Amino acid sequence: MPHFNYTGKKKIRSKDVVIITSTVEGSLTVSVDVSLERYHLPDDGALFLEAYRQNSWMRISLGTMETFDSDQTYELSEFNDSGGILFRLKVTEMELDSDSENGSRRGKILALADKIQPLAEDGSSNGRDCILSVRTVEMSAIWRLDLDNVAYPILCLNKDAGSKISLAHSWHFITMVYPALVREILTKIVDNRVHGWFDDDESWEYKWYSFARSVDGVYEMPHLHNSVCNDEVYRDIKDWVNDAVEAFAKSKDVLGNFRKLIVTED
Amino acid sequence: MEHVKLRRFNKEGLQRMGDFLAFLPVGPPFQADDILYEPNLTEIIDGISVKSEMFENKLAVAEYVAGVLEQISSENSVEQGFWSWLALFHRDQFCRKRRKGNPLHQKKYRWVPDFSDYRKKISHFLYGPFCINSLYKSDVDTAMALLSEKPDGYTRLFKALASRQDLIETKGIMDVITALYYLQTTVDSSLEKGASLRGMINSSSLSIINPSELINNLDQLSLNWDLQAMSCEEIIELMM
Repeated sequence: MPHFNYTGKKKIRSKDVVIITSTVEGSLTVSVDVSLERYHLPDDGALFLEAYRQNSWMRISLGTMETFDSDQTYELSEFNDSGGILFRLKVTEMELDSDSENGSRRGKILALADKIQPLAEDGSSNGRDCILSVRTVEMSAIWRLDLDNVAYPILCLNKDAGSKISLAHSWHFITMVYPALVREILTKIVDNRVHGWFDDDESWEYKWYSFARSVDGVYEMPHLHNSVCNDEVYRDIKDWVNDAVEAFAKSKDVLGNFRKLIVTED
Repeated sequence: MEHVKLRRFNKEGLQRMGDFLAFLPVGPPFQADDILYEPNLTEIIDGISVKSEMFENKLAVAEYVAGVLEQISSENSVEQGFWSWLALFHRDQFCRKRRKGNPLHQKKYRWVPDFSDYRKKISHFLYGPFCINSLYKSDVDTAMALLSEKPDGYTRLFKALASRQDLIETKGIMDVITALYYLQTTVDSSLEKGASLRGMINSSSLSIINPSELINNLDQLSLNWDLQAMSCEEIIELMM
């Protein structure tokens, strides 16, 4: 769906917002610091922070541009863990003045930063540059990918299948699951090209595409800027996904590792 | 029905309930009562007694649950075993029947709440109405589009909203939804603000549309407008 910015909303760069999550006495908390001088926003602009992960969401009022206090911490009561949480910072018009000549009106978004990944308490990236988040959930299957309404893919692992870190990094898992996982993600980015992600280097699709292209043997996606879908386009794209998965499997020596696993189990 | 001691399932009880639900559409190998009162599968909570009731709608469910929770310690409100036991205890209210009389299959999370996923937990027969009613306790009219549904109802509107905590928790949006999907289709003069909401819709060009379409429209508006800070009137004005 095309996006129309008819209100003059400013885009806040993600590097101008620092969000840190930490766990204090078992509760997940967040603190925020912003550097918004360059955007020339009014002192009475209201700041809101929204945290979201798939269909969960919560909103925190940070005061106004003038009263904002970066020393404050806030509890993320809707979330049990920080895996995959993203943040949205909004600066909005608070005055109810619909007849104003400059078009000011309550609720108008003056500036926005979205899909911000938090830093860990020690300032480390906490996966800020990661392209795949891992979290555990209750389910019967061992794994599934969540690709809808997320800012980057989430690998969901069965919470009773062991430690998510050791499972996700085990050779068994990488050998047997990752090629299928890569195929599902590449298929999704192919579908999502109609949304124009190739123009947004902060989108997860762009990052995954860059990752795929960095693998030896992966060529440029055909029809990247073409939203037309006919038999020829479909065939070319399917071939590209297949070839990229093959190249990924080769780079990870999936077959060699599979043979070793079989020998070990014999 | 007589009063019985309120209980919660333990881990094994939850597993047995899972077995019961899996076989529900074809006839479970054992009766619900076989597990509801089994001391090895359940624990009595705070010595409280409860009675199975017939609920008119989800609002009545929410009020009943609030009454139960008032009497017990707060940690039970996040206990799967508590919510699951109470749902199974009221199974006659939630077991929708097919034409031939067999129970309709309902997703497990409608009986056993999955607190790790908002959509699933809000879809629980008891937890969902309780949670929505708690949000709008001081102005329950706001959520009537959802709370007026039948206790076992799972309408397209409910499903569409269940996956969007940001919409359910926004008062202005819920007022719009109640005005569109409840007041336009129901004669309910008990709502305090019914007349004003009805008047707003009637004076606008808005009509009832598919809930998914409404959500798409709201998403489009939210690119430039902070709908969470706006009233029902302001949102309707934007939508016109």
